Amino acid sequence: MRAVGIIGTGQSAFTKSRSDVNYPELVREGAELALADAGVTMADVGAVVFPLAPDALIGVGNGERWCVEALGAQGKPFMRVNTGGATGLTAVVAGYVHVASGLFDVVLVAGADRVSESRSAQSVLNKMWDVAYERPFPLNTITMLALAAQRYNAKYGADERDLARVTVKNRRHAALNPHAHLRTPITEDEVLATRMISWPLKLADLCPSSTGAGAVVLASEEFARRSGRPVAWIRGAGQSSETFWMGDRVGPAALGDHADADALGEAMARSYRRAGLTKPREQLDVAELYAPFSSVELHAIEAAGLCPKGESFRRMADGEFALGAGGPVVNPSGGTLCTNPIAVTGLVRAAEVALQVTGRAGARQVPGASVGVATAIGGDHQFYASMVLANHLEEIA
Amino acid sequence: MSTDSIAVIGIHHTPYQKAVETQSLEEMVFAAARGALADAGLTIHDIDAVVLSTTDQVEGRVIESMVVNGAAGGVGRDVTTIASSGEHAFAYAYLSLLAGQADHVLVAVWSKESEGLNPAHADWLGAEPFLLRRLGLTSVAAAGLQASAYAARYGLDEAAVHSLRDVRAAAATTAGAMVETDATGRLVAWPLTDLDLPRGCDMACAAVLTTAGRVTPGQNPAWIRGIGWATGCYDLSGRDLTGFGSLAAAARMALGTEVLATDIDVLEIQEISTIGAFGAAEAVGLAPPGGGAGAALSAAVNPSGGNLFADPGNASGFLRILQAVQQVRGAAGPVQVHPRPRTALAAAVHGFAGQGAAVVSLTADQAEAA
Repeated sequence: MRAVGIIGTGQSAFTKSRSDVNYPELVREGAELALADAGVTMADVGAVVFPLAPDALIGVGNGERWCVEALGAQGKPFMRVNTGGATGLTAVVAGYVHVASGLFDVVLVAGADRVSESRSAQSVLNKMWDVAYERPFPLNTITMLALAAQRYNAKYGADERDLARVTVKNRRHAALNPHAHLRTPITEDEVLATRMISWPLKLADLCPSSTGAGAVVLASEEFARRSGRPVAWIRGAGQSSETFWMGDRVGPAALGDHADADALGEAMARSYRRAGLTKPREQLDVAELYAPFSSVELHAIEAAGLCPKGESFRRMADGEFALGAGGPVVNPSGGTLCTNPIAVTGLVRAAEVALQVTGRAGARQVPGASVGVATAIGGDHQFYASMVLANHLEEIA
Repeated sequence: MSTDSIAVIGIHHTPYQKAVETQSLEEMVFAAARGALADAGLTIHDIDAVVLSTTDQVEGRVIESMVVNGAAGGVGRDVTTIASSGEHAFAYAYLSLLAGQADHVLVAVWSKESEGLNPAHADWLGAEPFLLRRLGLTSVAAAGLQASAYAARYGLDEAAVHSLRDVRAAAATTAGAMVETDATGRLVAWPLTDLDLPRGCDMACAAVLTTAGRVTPGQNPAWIRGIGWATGCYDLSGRDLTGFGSLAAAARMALGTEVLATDIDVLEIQEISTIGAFGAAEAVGLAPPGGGAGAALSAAVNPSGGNLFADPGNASGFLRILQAVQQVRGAAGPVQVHPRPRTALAAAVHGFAGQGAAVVSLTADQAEAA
């Protein structure tokens, strides 16, 4: 198959809200950063993929169409992806597919979100569920994942302090990332002292509602090598999905165990197979795992194969997965827990891994990183995407 | 990149109905997916990737593909939702196969606008909030502006408009592709009346695509000769509304320089209005600017009746592709063109006055496939 690489990334400084730009202008901001980083212009871009999750979060139906002029995409092939929280990474996968198909040499994936400006993101997200039963339950992404956290803790013996350690690690990382939204370090006791939102998740266990833009430029091997830019090669991509119904994830007839992230594991396994990656704990240097809440990171680490099921919180207590520790570093950017502009959160995961494996991640750089994985999760933990990136096209050792 | 050609080996759509009240959306999509698999002689176990397309706002569900994913067979599979239009989902399935990301892809696209309390209001929310929403821009208003621009430049051929209505109605009746309406000829967006605009309907559609190496004896493939898609300015003042620039760009990408639209046996073209049909025929290359009326009325265009009398929203363009597929497969039933067409083209548009478009070129002959 044709080799494809990321040759440029762009991220705005994520924040609570932006009153200085409208939505298309915000999208343009991220695109311009990525194009400049890649050393290309829109004249070089053959097609555009636009990540945008629920239309209601920006308040415009098919809001991607509003952004065509801001991107300079008139006359070009242009399509939008929406797999909820997985949208950003699914869009990068779609961009990869565009180039790998042989029809395009350079593809721009660019989008933005302004989640806090929707007034009530959780009210919007409640509308994901069926009208008759699960919507009035009431489920939203917090109550849904609180159920998963309860199950994880009960099954494996973790507790609220174990969840707090995830936040502490990621805030410490985010403090090193100029793009991150929540950059203030926090202690375990401070996390535990924040108000309970949905047991066992407290305010500091939850991601913020972020506003900002992100973009990446993907190119064929020939174009990427000619560009002379640092290239993060896409070595494998995989996706999977699971049941929509929460009721099918609990109880004796459950299709899966809500404690675990088996469908994420399947998506990752597909990307590993395509990348020829067989021993993730030894072969991965960095993992940007989509985890909007502290509890999610624990089972995502296990799904990634970085430790056995039920072990991640114990290893995290021992200091693993953090910058400066041995072994793969998880979410050196601070992750989704510190920055969640829903439509581009998954894209940022891929962009961060691209920066890591090309040695351009600044203060949050994992020393010597050459192979990494990015993931994203969407819907009611239903859609999963995974992408392995490396700074070479040789066999992954 | 796969060196294989790509074929459509199975399709299905639910009946044309104004409002489906006896099936849930999930049941409709399940029926479409199961029908397409049966048409291909496959089961869901043969499918390794699923591409869905939806627009959230019409049926009032956020990330609507979530509820439908299981019905389309997506659980445990590589699933991508393309939210910009149904025809883009078809293009993405094609790209996935070319890229070697899948061997068999199932595409499911639907619209059940009857579940929406006010589809026109949802459509209006596609206008940005600062200016166009305050001006009341909707798809109907945009179609009116397109038609008025066309009429102002080339004149309003009312006889051709009436003929187009009659020709499409006759074909739609034969195809069973006509839903009831309360339209009376009331002017809604000059020069368009409610008889000149597509009638919404509920429908779920599905298709199965694969590579040449996996087409088996007994399957009846329609081969993809080329696909193109393009977008244009959102701001209507940034476009020449007399034509459909994105459709023309998509046609150029799909057909290249060697294939002429006028040489294609059958064309299924999505029409935003009766007058819009003329500009669309011109954009795909059937006639010069201003000369589209004759081309739109030719027997080669929309033997299915097109979308004016039954339009399943986000699935409307995708349905045009399925109709073109059926023609080259010789499986178009009562609207089958004889002799069986060797080539077909499907043209789809989306957004206000056709901001975006996609074109699929098909052939019955594998040797002609891309």
